[in-house]
Formats: sequence, C-alpha cells, structure tokens
Amino acid sequence: MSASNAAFFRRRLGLVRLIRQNIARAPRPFALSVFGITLGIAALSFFLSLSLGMQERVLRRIFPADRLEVVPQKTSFDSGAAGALDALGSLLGAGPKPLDAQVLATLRAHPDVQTVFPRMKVAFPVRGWGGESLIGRTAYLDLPIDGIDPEAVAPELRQTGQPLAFVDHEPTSNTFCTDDKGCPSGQFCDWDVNKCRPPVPVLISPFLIEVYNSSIAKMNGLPRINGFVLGRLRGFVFVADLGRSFLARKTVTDKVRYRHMVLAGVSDRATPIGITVPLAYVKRWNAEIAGERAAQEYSSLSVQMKPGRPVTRVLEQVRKLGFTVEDNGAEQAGLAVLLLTALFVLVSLSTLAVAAGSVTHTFFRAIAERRHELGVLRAVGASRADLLFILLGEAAVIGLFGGVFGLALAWLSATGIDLLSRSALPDFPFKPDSYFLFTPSLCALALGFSVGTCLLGAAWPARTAARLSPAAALSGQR
Amino acid sequence: MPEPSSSSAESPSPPSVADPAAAAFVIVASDVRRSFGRDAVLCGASLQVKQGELLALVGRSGSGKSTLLSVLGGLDRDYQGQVTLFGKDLAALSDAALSQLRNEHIGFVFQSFHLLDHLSALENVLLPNAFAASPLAHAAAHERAREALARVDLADRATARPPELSGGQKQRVALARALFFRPQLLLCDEPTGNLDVTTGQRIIELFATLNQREGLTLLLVTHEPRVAAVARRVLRIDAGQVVSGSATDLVTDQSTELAPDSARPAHRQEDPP
Repeated sequence: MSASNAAFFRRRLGLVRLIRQNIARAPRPFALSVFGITLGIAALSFFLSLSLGMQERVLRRIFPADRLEVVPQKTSFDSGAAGALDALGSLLGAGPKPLDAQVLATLRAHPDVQTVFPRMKVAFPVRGWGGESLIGRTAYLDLPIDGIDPEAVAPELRQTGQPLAFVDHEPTSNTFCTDDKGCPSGQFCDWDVNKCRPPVPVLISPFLIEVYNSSIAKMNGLPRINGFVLGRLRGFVFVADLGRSFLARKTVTDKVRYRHMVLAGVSDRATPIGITVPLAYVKRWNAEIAGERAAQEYSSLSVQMKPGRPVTRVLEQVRKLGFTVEDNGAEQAGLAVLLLTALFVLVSLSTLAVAAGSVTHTFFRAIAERRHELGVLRAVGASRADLLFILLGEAAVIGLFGGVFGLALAWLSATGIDLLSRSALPDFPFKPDSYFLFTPSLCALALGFSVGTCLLGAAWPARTAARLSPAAALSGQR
Repeated sequence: MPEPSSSSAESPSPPSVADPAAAAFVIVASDVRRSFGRDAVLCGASLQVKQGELLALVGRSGSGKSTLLSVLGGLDRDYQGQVTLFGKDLAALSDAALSQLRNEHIGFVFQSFHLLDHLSALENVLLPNAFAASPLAHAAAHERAREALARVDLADRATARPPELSGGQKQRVALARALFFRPQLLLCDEPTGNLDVTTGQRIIELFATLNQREGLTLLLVTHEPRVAAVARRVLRIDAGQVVSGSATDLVTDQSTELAPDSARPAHRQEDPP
C-alpha cells in the first residue's frame, strides 16, 4: 500500500472512530432513530418478500410465466355481429383454423422461442378402470387424455428423479398373447390385438393431486397423496378402454382398443384434468379410431420462451397466425399481486418517509446540542467535508442497524405467519410451506433503502452543520 | 522542532526562503473589517506578527480582540481586508486548505478550554490527528499525545475525562491538544480567564517557556496585566483598530472594567490539592 493510500485509510479510520464515539455517548436518540427506521424497513421487506413469495411459490406454480399455451380461436359467445359471423362460418363448415405442423414450424422459428412442444388430445372418449389392489374394488372413470412430446418433460423428470421411462414403447412389442401370464415381465396382454406390450406411461399433474387431496380425498375418506404415497403409486397399472365412455354408458366406436397404462410420474406439464401420455400414442390412436385428420391437428402448442424474453412479440405472432393463447388467469392474478404489492410498498415507503423525517429532526436537534463541539472540531482542523463525513456516517450507521433489525423483524413476522398457516389453516390447493421469499437481492435492497433513507434524512442537517462558521459555533452565536 | 507534514498543492506551507520579507512575518493583517449586523467591531485593524514573537493583544471587553483572533486563525471568514498567514492569503484558500492550515500550523487555546466531555484527556489531545492530511499511525499518535500531555505535566491524567479535571488541568489538556502537531503559531484567547491566580501563572510560564525554548510564535489575547507582562510586544485594540500599547494600558482599563488579580476568588477553577 502506498504512503498516500495508508494516510487516506488512517484518516478515514480516525473519522470512523469519532463516529463510533459519538454514537456511544448518546445511545438513546440513536436507538430512537434506529427504531423508526426498523419499523419502516420491516414493513417494506415484509410486503416485498410476501409479494416475491406469492409470485415464486404460488403464482409461478399455477401460472408459469415463461410458457404460452397456443390454442385455436375459441367459439364466439358474442350476441352481435361477431357472433353472427362465427355462426355463419360454422354453418359453411369453416371451423377454427387448425394447429398443424406448419404452425408448429413457424412458431419454432421465432427468435424469442426456445422450443415448442405440440399437444394432442384423444378425439374419442376413454374409460379407465382398475385400482382393486389399492382400494379393494374396481373404480371406473372417464379419462381425458392428451399426448405430449416426451422431450418436453424429460428435463423435469430427470431433475425430480422419476425412474420410469416416459417413452413410446409400442412399435417394439409384437409378442402374441391371450392373457398377461403369457407376457414377459413388465408387459401386459392387450386383448384387442393379442400382443404383449409394455404399459403406456402416464403422467399426472400436481394440480390434479392438489384437487384430489383438497376435495376428493376429504369427501370420500381416502388417504391424501403426499410424496411418500406418490412413490408407492408410481408403477400402478390400470386399463384404458379407448372408444368407450363411462358417462355415456355405451361404446362410441366399433374400433375399441384396450391398453394397459402405468403411472410413470408427476409433471407440471401434464394436463391439469386427466392424464398425459407420449404424443406418438395419441397420434396413432386418433388415426386408428377418429381418422387421419384428427391425427394431424394439435389441440395446443406449448411454447417455451427463451430465458428473459418477453412473451409480447410471440403473442403478436400467434394472433397474426389466427390463434390465441390459453387464458389461464395468470395476467390478472399477477396484476392483482402487483397492485397489492404496490399498495403495501407505498404504505411502507410512507413509514420510511416519516422515519426519515424523524432522522432529520433528531439530527437537527443533535447538531443544535453539538454546535460547540462542531466548532471545536473545525478549530482543530476538521474541514466541511470531514463534518459531512462524520454526520452522514452516523446516519449510515443508524440506517445499517435499522436495516438489519428491520429485516430481522420482517423475517420473524413472516416465520410466525408461516407457522400459524401451517398449524391453523386448512389445506388448500397449492398451499405453500412459506408465503414469503427473502432473497439476497431483497435484503440488499432493504439495507440500501434503510441507509439511503437515513442519509437523505440527515443530508440537510449535516449540510447546515458543515456550513457553520467555526467562530460562530465556538462563541455560541447563531 | 520537526516540520508538520504538508502535501497538497493548495496546502499551506511556511513562507519560501526566496521571500525574506514574507518569511519574517507569520501574520500580516491589513485593514481588517468585521461587522455583526450594524455593529462594526473591527474597523480597519492591521497588525504584523514576526516569527518567534510573543505578542499580547489587549483591550477593553467587547473591543474586538477575540473577533480579530478568530479572523487571524481562519475561524471567521466573513471579514473584509487582507489577512496573510505564513505568506498565504486566507481569503484565497479553500475550506479544505484552510482547515489543513489550522490543523498543522496553528494551535488554539480558548478561555473556556473547548474540550469534548465524552472523550478522555488523551483522546482530546489526539483529535487533530483525525483531521490531518497525513495522520500519524495509531502507536505514533498515541506516543505523541502522551508526550504532549507530559509536557504540560498531565501524563498521569490521560484517561480522565474533562468533567473529572480541574480548570487548570483542562487548560493544560487544551494546550497539549494545541501542541500535538508542534505548530508554528499558538493563538490564545483569554487563556487564563477561567483560572485562579496560581494556575493562571503556571500557564503563563508555560507559554513563556514554549516561546523562549522552542521559538513558538504566540499571540495572546488578554485583559490581564500579568499575562500581557510576559509579552515582548503589546498591541492595544481600540475603536476597532490596532494601536501600539503596553501592559500598563490594562491597568488603566481595570479602573473601569477589570478587577485586579488579587481581588479574584482564589478558589475559582483551582487545581485539586
């Protein structure tokens, strides 16, 4: 370290020592100022962390912000001209524009898009049945099924360590059979074609589990599905009758297929109501049962945005192509959270403004009391800049303490509310373990605000003090 | 006496050798005017103080002695006229440069001591180091401060805070603080005004010693004849102007406003036994 640097640091150290001595000799006004700032910062960081927590831990789980679900135009419920045009088009056989391979290629080429995964729904009813080994009787349920490219869920399944493969097994299986006993281990006999095949891997959505846990399980006295139960459920095999409806109590096609299915795992990308299988199955089934056209039209295209890219340009392109996006309420929910956050932050900032005013008052009073002392410091060589450094340094220390205590208070309050929520509130879908998220950047922001508020509050009195004439300060003149 | 450090371009430095006329004078003040509202306190005061001089500035109460001292020490900049300190025009110096000049080249001793009560005697003496352009390292600064306290016979009171000290001890701590950077000029405003006769005498003797042995330039503002008596030259301030004077001028003034030393209470601010 050069001599001038050493001198600079020694000088700063000397001034910092004076700041420490000044704070130590008048702890009460210091504590009062810290208290005001603590309250303001606690409120600010509490509401900001609540907003962050709601966005990250609740909203993003329900409404992923980096994904769009492109769908065909919806039927118009407009009773005016738009509705009339829609009805006319329908009569002339002009349904909504189909989502086909061309649209898929166009969206995949968009510069803001990372990838697009097509989804296809089965174009006929499906009845699922099974569960004797689990609940002691066979349960029947109509199953909405959609297909998705396995690549769309592969990273998530790898990340969550779900062991069963979510792939299309069908083309590899041709062993003849009349029942399951004649099939190799892990394969089942599909009776319509008398072939042994691995079961179709199925994914379900966490939303479906939440709905089951919070309503179905409760109403029917069934066990809740948690991580442990889910682990046991993986590998659960049931049968799907393709082309049959439990609700209609009749066969809707003469091309009924029977397929064994196995629960492979849980994915955020699985359809919220129903089950999701690899896309190739749905394409084949639609072609066999509902015709070639049904195998060409996707029900939706799941668009994954590149990191940090806005959705606006893609939305524009989607609308130009004659499609729309699934309105999942994310925008409204996000806006509601944003507005509430803004309101609470405004309240917190008002508290901080009052605290800053209190700091200003405290400093003006302190400077009036320390007028003589400031004169002494000037007489022994303190420059205006030195006095500013000392007084603003004291303010910064108040801000730092206020920031740390404020953050601690906010965190304690948040922890208390989380504990209360866990013990006193009933379960509801997507109930988080914590509603709050304290990120390093939030803590840095809170500390910055705290120190900044105090510096702002002390700036005027400090400037007034620094401009005092030493002679006037020493003699007690105004 | 070692020279205090002085580094920046704007920083004050002793007059150059090439200017012997300037080198001879530590202070040159010409036609200094200072008013407070409508009250003109200094009305064209001029004086020159040579290096190594012990000068007393006497005058009646309210005559402007302390005001002139503040102007000369750079504590008051709201004056008209010209004041040159160590060859530098005070009006031309920035606040930082003037502060550095006060810090390194001038020591102040005031009637009411002006010590900070929340600091110990040692910490009070150390104060100038906090504002120096090149502060001494911690150990060296403490050694210097203890040395300064020892010079005023207060080595054993280093940890005492001002409220625990007598008036004489406080003034000696203030003197030790003023001498911390071994200044070239000591400006004293009624240094014995709050002290009893014996303690005041010891302080006066200390000033005389500093002047004689170390060549320190001293400007004493006083209205006490015994203080003025140690000065080699006495100036009188009258009607806002500086005129030649003598210690006996004060005797004349005493008849109207001053009590003789013998009449002052012996117990005031006295040293503890």
